[in-house]
Amino acid sequence: MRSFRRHLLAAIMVFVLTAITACSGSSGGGNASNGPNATSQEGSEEAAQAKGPFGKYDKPITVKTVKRVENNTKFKQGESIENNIWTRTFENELGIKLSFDWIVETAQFEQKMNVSISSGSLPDIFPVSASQLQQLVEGNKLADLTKVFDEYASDMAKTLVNQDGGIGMKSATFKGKLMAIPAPGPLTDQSHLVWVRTDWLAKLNLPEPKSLADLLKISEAFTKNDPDGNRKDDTVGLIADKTVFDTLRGFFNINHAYPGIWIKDQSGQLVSGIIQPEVKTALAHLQKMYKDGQIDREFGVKDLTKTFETIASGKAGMVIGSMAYPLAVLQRTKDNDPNAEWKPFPLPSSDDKPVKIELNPTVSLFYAANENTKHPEALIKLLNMFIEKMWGATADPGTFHKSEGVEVFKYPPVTISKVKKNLEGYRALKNAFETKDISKLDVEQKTNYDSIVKFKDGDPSQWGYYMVFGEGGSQSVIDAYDQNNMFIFNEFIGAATPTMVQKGATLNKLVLETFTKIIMGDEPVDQFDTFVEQWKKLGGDSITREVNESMASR
Amino acid sequence: MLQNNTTGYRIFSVINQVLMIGLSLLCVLPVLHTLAISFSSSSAAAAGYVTLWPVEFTWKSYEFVIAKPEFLRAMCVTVLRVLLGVAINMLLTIIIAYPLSKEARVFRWRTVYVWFFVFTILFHGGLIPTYIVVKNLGLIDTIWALVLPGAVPVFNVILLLNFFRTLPKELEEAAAIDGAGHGTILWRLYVPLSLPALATVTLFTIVGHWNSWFDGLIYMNRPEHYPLQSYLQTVVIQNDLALLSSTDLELLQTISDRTTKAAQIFLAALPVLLVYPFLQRYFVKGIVVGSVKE
Repeated sequence: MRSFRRHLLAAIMVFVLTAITACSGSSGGGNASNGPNATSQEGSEEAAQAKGPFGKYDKPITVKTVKRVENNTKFKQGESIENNIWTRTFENELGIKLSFDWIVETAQFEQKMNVSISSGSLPDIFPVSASQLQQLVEGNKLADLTKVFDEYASDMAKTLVNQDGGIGMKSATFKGKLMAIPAPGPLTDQSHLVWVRTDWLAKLNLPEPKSLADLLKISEAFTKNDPDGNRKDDTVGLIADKTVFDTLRGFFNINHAYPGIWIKDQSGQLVSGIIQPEVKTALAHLQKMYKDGQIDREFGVKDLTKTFETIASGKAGMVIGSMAYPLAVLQRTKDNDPNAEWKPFPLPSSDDKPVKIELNPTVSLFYAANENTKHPEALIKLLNMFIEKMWGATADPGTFHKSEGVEVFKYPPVTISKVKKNLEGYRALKNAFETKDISKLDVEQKTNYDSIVKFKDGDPSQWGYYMVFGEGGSQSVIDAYDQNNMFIFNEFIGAATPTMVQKGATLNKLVLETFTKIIMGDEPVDQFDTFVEQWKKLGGDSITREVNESMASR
Repeated sequence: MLQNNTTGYRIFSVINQVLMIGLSLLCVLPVLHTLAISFSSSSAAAAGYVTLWPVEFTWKSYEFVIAKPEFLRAMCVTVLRVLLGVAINMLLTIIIAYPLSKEARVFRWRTVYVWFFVFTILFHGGLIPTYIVVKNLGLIDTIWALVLPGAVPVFNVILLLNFFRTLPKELEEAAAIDGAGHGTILWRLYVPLSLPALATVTLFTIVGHWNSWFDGLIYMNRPEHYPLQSYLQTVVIQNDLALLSSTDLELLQTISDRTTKAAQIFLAALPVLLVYPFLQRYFVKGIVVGSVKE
């Protein structure tokens, strides 16, 4: 027994040693930890100089930054975030050496950044969320970028940061000073549209949905007339889920209600869309549909994934939502039933007034510079260079966008995207198919072009791309929205107000509970009026006041 | 046993068995369901066709999770962390629990020390101060940041010191008369006699180190230094469809969030499932019998 234990111990020791040696192979460059807020340029006697948007520093500077990466980012052999075509370009053409304090996946970025902020170890330039920006501005931790932006930003950079109509720039400006550079997110792609099982429409001889009345008729027929022909009463007309708005925001828009945004009333004051009388109308319709069995009996406890099961298993006839559905959930319907056909339609109107699609252009990502950094303009230069190499006169997408099949454009610490990327892509593709000229397509558009060609040649797995970018796809619907100015924007931009932070969760819960109960018929539709009173009392009024004050003070 | 043959006992026995089987099924079925989902095709999983048997069997989800070099690297970090962490934790637990298990007349400051330790359960600095301490000690981005901050699991120390107190005092006295010092008494008497308690505590520690992900996330500045659980946190499929680039979309075609998550749950739980049977035999009680004559 004793000797056995000896042997066991020896075996464990050997195992530990091998594990240690096996695993200690590559540890990246250790970071010497500096004191709080020490930036990398302290102690250099004369500041390096660099003129103009693309001027190179006369002596190389090192800029400390951090990077959020998407988890599926790929690298070529021997390359990394710290060493790739972009870092080499920044060093050779701008004289900016990048050093990364930390690298983290997108999902955990905010948490990691919060730790850095709280422990006072901020790099020179870094990305921040809207609420972090507010916090840092209040704590005077950021450099004022007003002057450097005017002086250094290239024309194209000025265009791109303002591509959302200046909303991002407005939300990054505090008391007239530009404190960060906004990175506007996708805008038109937030639009909701109606996806309909057109094979069922054909089977039941129904018209395409041109009005709310049509939509209700289709929903009823899809529920009661056995569209899948299995002689069972097991189909639903319209998809709803427990968040209510993820799947029904578009339905509210059809009824001229805008529950997710702040709109202007007649007097020009901002009011919340959630308490407007049109919301009540929409709820009344939904209550009737639920009573009729057109909405899943258990929608109140099903999350999106669970809800999508109904779609994938071919039990749902209509879903209102994102332009990207064909690439995921709708494709699954086709996998399980090759005869299934989904087509997107613009949201119809409930009356003769044109429908408006609600969009929330709030920017959620900004790039800021540390107040102690010697070279806040480096941030602007990095942005200039990124834009130039991606879309400028000297753009080289084969090197900087997608090279040897690897998406290298995800590497730089400061990036910006085109907010209407997919819509522009659709227009470019349409043009390419008409003129038979594909020379003008960028890398991504070319990929989508190839997918659509494959689909047309009979490859069903590419159906999703065709349904987004092809003729009659979801982007064509959004194109029509865009051409006819059918969008209504959130009038309130900026981070959450104090009462929002305090009471927001309570109010959201109230909204969710009330709306779910009304739709399920547990409460009469008139309960909505009581809800409005409650909402105002529980903090809605003071939020409205704060929102109006904050917009007036900008 | 006499009452084994009474009708009452038989009825009780049947009901007992049925209840127990029902309870075990409640525990096992969700696990089997998850396993089945992880081996199913994404379209079948998305449509909710999967119950307890995979539909359209495929390894794709596992390939997706394991195929990346990061997975192996993270696995390595975790193995190292568990080995180092468990060794340090157990050593410290044992040598701290022993003196604290003595009575106050043997070890006068015992109560003070116990409170000293217990205090840390009740009050601690919080996330940011802890982070700053770890940072200023230069542990950031090293394996030690995952092992040292939790080197003394006070709760386990209390468990073990209470177990030590249940051991018969006569044993210790007898050993002392035979000329054994504290070292000998601890390592040659107490530790062998406390195997069941030690096994329990070891299992807690292993599982704790294996499953913890948050510290890896905040103390590691490079994804390649992540332990497995922190890494798995990041292997989710982007749901923000509007932001996707073409490569992401190709992936979406074949893999769904559900099957991937199911595969991850299994990969992460597997080692603990494997370790458990080996520790099981120590959980059998009744070791401290027959060594003392009252």
